[in-house]
Amino acid sequence: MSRLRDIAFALGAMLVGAAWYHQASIIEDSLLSDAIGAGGVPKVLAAVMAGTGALLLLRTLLARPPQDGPGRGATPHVKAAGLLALMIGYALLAPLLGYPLAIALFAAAAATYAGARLGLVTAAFGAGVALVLWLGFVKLLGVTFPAGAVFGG
Amino acid sequence: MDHILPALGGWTIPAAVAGCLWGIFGGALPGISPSIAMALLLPLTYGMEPATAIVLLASVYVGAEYGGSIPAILIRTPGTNSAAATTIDGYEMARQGKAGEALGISLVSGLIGGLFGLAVLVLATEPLAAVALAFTPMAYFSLAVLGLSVIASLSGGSLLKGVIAACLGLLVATIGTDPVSGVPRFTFGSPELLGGIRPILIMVGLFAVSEMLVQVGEPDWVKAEKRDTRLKLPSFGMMRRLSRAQVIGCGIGTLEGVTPGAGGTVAAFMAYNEAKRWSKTPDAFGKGSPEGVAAPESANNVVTATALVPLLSLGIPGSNSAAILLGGFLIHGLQPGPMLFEKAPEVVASLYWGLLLANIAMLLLGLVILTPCLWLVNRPKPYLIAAILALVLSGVFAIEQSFFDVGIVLAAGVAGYLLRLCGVPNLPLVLGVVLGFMVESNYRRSLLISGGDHMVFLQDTVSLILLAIAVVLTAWSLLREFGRKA
Repeated sequence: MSRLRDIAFALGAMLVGAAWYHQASIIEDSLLSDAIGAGGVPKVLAAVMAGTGALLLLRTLLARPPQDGPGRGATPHVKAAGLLALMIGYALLAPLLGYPLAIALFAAAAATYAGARLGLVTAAFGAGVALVLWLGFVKLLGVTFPAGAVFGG
Repeated sequence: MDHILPALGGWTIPAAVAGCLWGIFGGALPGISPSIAMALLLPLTYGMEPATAIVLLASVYVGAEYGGSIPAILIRTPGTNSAAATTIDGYEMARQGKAGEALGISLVSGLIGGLFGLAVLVLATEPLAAVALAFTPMAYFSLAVLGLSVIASLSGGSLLKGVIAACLGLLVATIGTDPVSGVPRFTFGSPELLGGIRPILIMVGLFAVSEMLVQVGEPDWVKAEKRDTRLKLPSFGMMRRLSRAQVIGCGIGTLEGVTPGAGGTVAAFMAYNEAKRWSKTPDAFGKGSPEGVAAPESANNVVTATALVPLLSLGIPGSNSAAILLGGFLIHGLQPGPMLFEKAPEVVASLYWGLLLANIAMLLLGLVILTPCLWLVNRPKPYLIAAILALVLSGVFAIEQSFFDVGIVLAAGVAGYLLRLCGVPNLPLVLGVVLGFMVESNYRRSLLISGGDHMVFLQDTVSLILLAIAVVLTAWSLLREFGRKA
């Protein structure tokens, strides 16, 4: 498994390096530019990255495959993806619902998703987190958070 | 005595304590940098006495640089850029149930660093100002290369993966407006990317978000009774063990602090690397080494004082925080520079005493607030994960009031998760993001000065010395890494 991951990482590095090199090549020249140009340094870095990726790929393919232990299965990745979805959901809903409600819902949902029992305690936890963060960021630090299109008008 | 009483009179002591408390609070919140914490207080200083205002702002800086280490140790979230190096061993100690000890080491090392930096500021401002003036763009480039030289030992045994991660970080730093021509690069038409990506967003994503993504799929962690639930200050024996790392941190913090633009982040990483190199137990680094906490914490707290050297002596703000402090001086009609010591000696004296008080306040406040912080992180895991992520999402939004930044943090979190799966160290990536702008902008400025001649990096004395040190350190690290594998 670790061999497959190394191969995937090396290929990914080569791909990102090549794509970055291409993007650096199509940066428009400016009259104010120097001899190196806006794309010069990124091109060198992208080439080094792709080249190192190729070396890593070669080394991995030539090396004897290691004896991997039993994998952990896909469950942890699915759990991680679910938590990520909750965070994306918060970012999408906060402008609509407003910061205090959205962050309270997020805290309660994330806690439930991570293993807390859904009930009054978790609901109170969500409200408490929202209150503390709202007091700290909005009232004390004066940060402007979205009031929400639904309730804030 | 004639200087002490007026300097400590009036509101100096309350300003130092309140500023330090505010700074610790701001520094501990991901997204609120020391400069933001200072800027939030700047309008309040209009009506204050000049000395009180300057002490207040400088104390916020001291508190914030220390405060960043608290979430770095407890929840793997660096509150400030310069606390990133502290996460390596600090969080590892916390995972082993030694969070109280790690916080104690960070507090005491921060105090030692802060007091050492203050002594340097008071005694050596004049000669160190000459060092700051000796830094040309060539020297800055070489200083950044020296910073990158620690990649070999931060690569966790896989140099190729470390190099790829560092390249990725350096490439991320090229996103935004080109530093020479002003042409937008890799922005794909997005105005939010024109100013580049803040390193703190990448750090919070790589460290905090990826850790929570991993933790949600892991079994429950060690029960609270097996973990430190109280702050534990280092014993005499431990202090002796840490002294070498603290001396290294103080030395590197002094050099980096007086160099405008270098800052506490580079100082912390370099101090970590050198403490590992000179440690009797280098293999313990990355696995919860107390020295791995002491070195970066000493270094970044030295910087809080030594970064004021170029500001006070030359009027050059070497960092965002120093720029805010410069604003504080200007608001009160004071112009930092050589004449400040002649025109307003009482303000300079108050600043020195204020910094001393802020460091003492940091210790006392730390003793009070750290045990409740430990209690907080010993709550049940599901609630802790949710609270940490709620704090991260709020703190990141607070930087620019932008959900775009939240998206960047989530993307960095996913990248960090995938990199961990592939066994890729994320510290070289962080270093690349932090140093990328410094490397490219000074490289190109140097070539503009020299007309494209690369020999300019060897003709500048400071640059030559720094490059030579970088080559020696890299060779040393590589030999050690390969020697260990052989």
